[in-house]
Amino acid sequence: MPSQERMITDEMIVAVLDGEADQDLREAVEDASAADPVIADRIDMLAAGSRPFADAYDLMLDHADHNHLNTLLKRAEMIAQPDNDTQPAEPPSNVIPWRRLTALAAMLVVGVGVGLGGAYFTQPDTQTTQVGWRQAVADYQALYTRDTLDLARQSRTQQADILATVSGKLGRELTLDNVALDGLSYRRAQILDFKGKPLAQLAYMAGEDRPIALCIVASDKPAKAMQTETRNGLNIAFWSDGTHAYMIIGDMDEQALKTHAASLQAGLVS
Amino acid sequence: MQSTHDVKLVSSQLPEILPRLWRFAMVLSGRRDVADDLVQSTCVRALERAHQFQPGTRLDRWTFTILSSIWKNQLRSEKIRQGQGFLDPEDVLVEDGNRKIEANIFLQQVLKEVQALPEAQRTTVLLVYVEGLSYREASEVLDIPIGTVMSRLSSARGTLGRLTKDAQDVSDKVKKGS
Repeated sequence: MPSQERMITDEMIVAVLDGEADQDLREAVEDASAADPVIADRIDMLAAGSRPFADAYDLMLDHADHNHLNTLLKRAEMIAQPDNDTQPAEPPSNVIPWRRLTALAAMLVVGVGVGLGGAYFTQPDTQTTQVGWRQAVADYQALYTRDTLDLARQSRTQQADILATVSGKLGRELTLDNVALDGLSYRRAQILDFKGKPLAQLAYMAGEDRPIALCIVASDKPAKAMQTETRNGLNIAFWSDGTHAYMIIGDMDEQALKTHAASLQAGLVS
Repeated sequence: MQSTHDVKLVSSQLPEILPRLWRFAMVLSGRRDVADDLVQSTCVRALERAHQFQPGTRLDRWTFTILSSIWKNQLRSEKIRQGQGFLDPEDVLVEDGNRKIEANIFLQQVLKEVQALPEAQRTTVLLVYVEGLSYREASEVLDIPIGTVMSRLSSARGTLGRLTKDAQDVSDKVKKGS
């Protein structure tokens, strides 16, 4: 009967098939099925939609990489509990807290939706933590992979909007034009925290798989001309202008990096 | 406040449910790298919010809810923009090196059929028909009304039911022809 067909929905039938229906609904569906072959056919159709779902999906469990998953959990524990007993003693106050950086990394994963791909959180040796923000950035940059930036693709409008927000936090005007670098693909900007100061990180990709970053932090130290150095196997060109300190870092030869740094210096002149 | 006891309780139970968390992440995202991020982010959040976990309740349900929330609020839009999301079961079931699964072909076909359903449907199928959650529990994990759970399941069953019927029709025709 057409009126009964309208009354019994597919959702109701599936609830009966799944054992989620109460007595009244079960009886209503049974009655409708007995009275109306159209409804009986619909019940057949929906019943035929059953499968050995659990057995099928257990195939995936058989292929879960337990070692890898445990590694993910260990990383999560390091991020979530940076001060637990398994960590070394707190470094002196002038030392960059690498554990804080891992916490920052976690914020990025959660807050920006960008994972660290296959990167591992590693602890830099004690000596290399005895320096300032450049080492902090180098430690962090070393975790970057192509995947990190592949997952961070943004439209040009989004890039411009985020850059404007970052500019506001940093107190330094950054635009897609004045941060553009020849031969590098600009990907995204974000704000980190360094000892209570906003640290802007602008990510680029060189070629297919070499993440490069421009980092800027407020600094009231006197202006300094560009210098270069190497940390964690990554080349760095750095300078300051009396209000901010800058560095560009990545797996790139020193001369190319200096060229980019010079281009930025020229473009960022207020 | 987060206490060491809370963290230890959650931490001690997480290893056991990691494979199922990973499976949920794979079904949602369809990508190993995104699934890894989802699992790790879920563990971080679970440990950071360990004080919110009620002892005696199911940690798996709680972490599924966290994972679903992270996916919905943070990672999903990014991935949809990239036009990804379809998980080919063969990508999951064929392991690196020589360890190729000798899975039941029928079950692989089932996996393929379900994974071809829209994300919302296959996720609900996983929670209710695989993980054994009630409609209400699934609605809580996914933060959707129960009616939506019901409608997703009926749509999924409708699609799969038609596949079965179509296959039967073809089979009947072959029999008649022979």
